[in-house]
Amino acid sequence: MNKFYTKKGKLLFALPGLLLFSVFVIYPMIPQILISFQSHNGAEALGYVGWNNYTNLFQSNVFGKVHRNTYFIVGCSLLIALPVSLLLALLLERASAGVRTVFKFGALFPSVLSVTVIGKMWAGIYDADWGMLNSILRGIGMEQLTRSWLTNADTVVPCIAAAFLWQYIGLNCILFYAGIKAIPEQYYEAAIIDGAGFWRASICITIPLLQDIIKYVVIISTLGSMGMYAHILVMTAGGPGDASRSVLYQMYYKAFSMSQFGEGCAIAVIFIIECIIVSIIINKCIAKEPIQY
Amino acid sequence: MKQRLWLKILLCVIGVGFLYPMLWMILTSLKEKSEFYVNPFGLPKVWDLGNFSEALASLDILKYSFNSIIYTFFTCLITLFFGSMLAYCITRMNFRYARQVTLYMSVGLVIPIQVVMIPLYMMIMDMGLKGSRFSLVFPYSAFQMASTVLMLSAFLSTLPKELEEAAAIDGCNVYQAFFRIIFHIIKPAVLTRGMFIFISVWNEFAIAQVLGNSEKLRPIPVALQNFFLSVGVSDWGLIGAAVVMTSFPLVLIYCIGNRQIENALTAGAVLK
Amino acid sequence: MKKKNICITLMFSLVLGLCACSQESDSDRPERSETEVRKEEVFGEGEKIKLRGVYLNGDEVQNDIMDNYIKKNWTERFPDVEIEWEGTGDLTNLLKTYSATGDLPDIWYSDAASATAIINAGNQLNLADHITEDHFIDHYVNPEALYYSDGGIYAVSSGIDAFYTPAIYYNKKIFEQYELTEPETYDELIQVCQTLIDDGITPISIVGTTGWSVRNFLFFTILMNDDPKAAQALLSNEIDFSDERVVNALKKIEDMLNMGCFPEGVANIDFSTHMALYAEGKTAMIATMSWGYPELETAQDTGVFMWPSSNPQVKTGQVLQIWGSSLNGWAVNSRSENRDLAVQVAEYCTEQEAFRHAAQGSSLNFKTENPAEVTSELEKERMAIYNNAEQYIKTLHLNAMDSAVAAEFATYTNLLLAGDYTAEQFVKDFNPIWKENTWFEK
Repeated sequence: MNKFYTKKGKLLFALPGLLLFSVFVIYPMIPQILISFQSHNGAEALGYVGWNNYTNLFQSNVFGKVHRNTYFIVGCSLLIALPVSLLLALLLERASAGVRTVFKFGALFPSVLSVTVIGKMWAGIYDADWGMLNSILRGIGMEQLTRSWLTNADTVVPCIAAAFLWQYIGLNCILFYAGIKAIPEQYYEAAIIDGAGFWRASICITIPLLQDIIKYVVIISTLGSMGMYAHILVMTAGGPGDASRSVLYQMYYKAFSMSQFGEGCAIAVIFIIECIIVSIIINKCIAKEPIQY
Repeated sequence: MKQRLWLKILLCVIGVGFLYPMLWMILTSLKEKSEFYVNPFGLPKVWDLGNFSEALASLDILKYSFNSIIYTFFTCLITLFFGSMLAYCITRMNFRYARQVTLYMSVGLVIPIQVVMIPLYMMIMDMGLKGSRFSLVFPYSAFQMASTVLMLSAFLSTLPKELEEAAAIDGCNVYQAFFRIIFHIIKPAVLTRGMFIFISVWNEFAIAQVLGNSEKLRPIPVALQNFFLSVGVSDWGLIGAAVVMTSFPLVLIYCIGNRQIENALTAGAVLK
Repeated sequence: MKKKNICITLMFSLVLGLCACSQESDSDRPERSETEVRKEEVFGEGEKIKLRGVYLNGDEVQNDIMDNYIKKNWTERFPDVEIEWEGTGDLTNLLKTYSATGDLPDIWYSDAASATAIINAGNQLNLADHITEDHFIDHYVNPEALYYSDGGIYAVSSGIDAFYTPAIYYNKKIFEQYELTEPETYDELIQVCQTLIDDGITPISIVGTTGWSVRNFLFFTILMNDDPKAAQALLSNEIDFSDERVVNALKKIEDMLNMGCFPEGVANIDFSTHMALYAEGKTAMIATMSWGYPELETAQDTGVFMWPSSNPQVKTGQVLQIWGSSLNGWAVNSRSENRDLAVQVAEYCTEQEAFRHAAQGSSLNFKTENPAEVTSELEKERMAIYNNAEQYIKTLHLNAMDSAVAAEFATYTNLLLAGDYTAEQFVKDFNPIWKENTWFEK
């Protein structure tokens, strides 16, 4: 077969894809690192400044704040959204086909809408004056809980997180459900003979067998929430003040609003390292070996 | 049985809950400005289509949709074509560096596209691609390449080796084998992947906002955000109309191809 | 096999070719014009030169200038030029992004908050020589007002800016209903607010997104009504934000916010909403810039007074903040391919703007033939106060902040309006940024 797979053939097959990938994904990180050591106004470099950009970052309060916000959202998606969607998927498995169709139709819907639309809809829900959330609270007589959700520094991040998670909870649920469907029937048959109920069957059989998919969902939701940026831009533009900025929003703000591209790139470099570390941790912690049914 | 009913209602309510904000937007778009503040959630008293014509007058939906279509179409084309070739090379061509290449590509899964937006746009400017629609298509393709290659190689590695052997015996060379035989076999996987790329590129915001933020190049999400900024946060009828109109194509596709979209979104996970 | 090779090569070159052809940027490389010319030949739509322009929309005055003056008279003045206008409500951020990404149009309405960054990047044309040569500058009563601190002219405007002041407009009906009178002092204003709050009416509508009202005038106006010298000193960088008088001015805003003088969720209220709140009678007063008066006047029976003084030494209306910045106005892209034409367009837009304002009877720096008289009683009243003032102080954030500081100023004033953020915290956070201001380094 070596004659069949010629060297030239391999090159022709591999090269275009690799080239595109290298030029637009890998290569930009090199100037990124270089600029992070420069003072740069977007139009021209104003000379190397050593580690200045990095020390500036670590000294500023905002840098800590944007990390707290980002990892708060990651935490929410792992500790709230993930269990909820897993539970929904388990329930879905038990429901009749009709209910399943209705649910699946609704659940995937938010994930095909654009962030601009989602952000604006949720801004409407949170509006202080006539927004849905405050109207409901007034309706059930909990007037004291109403507030201006998106301009309150304490509530703004959870509110954005809720909008973001709402968009992807349905998708995660369908992913889990697809995984459950892939588990061969005989595992359950054994459980039914043992007389295991819903909870026991789920915990002892379904969830362990779902490891692969759980790992996949953990990775995409962690990295997805770390990269969150557009929701914030649309809903609050980082406000009030800098209260709801994520790491990437801060990068955008530094570079494009303040024309400090050096510091912007320094944020990006640190963030890339964080992404790599986080994905290594996830890979180490969950499902070391793929499961064979 | 009692538990069943409870379950049924719960799941249906949650399912519809996901649709509700959009429904609310549709109702809002049909209300007059004065009515909205009095009655933000009920059915409109007067069904008014004025918001739609007003939104159409200030938002050139055709142009922005055209931009979005160009971006998604070419991204799908380039990614799927070169991606499937690369995946084929990694899995089936006895490629010596297959493992290294796989590892290299998985870097693309880890890094969100927004992170490199600063050097990316500087690079695009240096390359003279600025202002061309390809300034968005190339980065999109490159970032979609990683997951496409990894997914397709998972799929390709499940195919039997005998396929090419048979092809070789029939006198095909590797190109014919790939384009005439293999490509047809992996077509379903390629199509589901295409659907996935379509959804993510159609809705991409961060890079488009930096690289495609001129009047000529704006795709729908960025144009919509600009429209919101010029309308302000007060005229929700207009906002609703713009949201409804720009989401319409996607909603239509969603309603028709719900099953396929489900497959596309889950394919990556199950194949992993 | 060869065929396939050729096919793939062809495909790749096709893709590359496509992207080369679809170049529509305003990059300054010479190849581009050739492509352009070729394309025009192909499409046969010939001789018209195409330009891009960005303007500010959002309030009725700006829309009126654009629709009824600039666009209306366009073909008469420039029959061979086609211009694609883009309007935006968020000029600062759009222009900054355009500048950073090399997307700047040929001509745009410049605003001071983004202009320094664009000028530093070398993208905003110094118009001084151009408009001196073609004697456009002779139209101005006071040409000095056009010069930026580095001695260049980066924007031309009708000069109406210098006659714009912040003012408080009030709903006469509501004032009558609760037997309120125009406050003369800050304490009286607080009393008026308290009465209104007690009766369940929101007193003052302001803009909170990007701290607009506070950063544009509220803070500075309060400061100058407390001590004009402190305002002057801050404007010329003699004192910083830790000065006691500055902190007190910020505290007044904090107090008013905590009292409930501003609408709920004010940090998220944008310009059009703050106008609507007053126009629909939901607030008794609106503190805004004076250019918004026509809309307010048609909506409600409206009266006007200036921000009341909080110092017995200073009479209300004696010291006024004027909007003026030499960087506000029509600007030209220094890398535009049709630079001379773009300069003409900027001059034309200035002229049209001046015609519009003159027809309304506004005072201008730009001379026009037969300006009309002011018809609005409301505006007459304000101009009377304006003419009686003894001291005019220029807006702080347009005349003392580089674009990085201006961006942060917007962030922190927005935070101040969000509540739970004290004046002291503001000073602690913002003062270090203010000290790194590069504006005064020239």
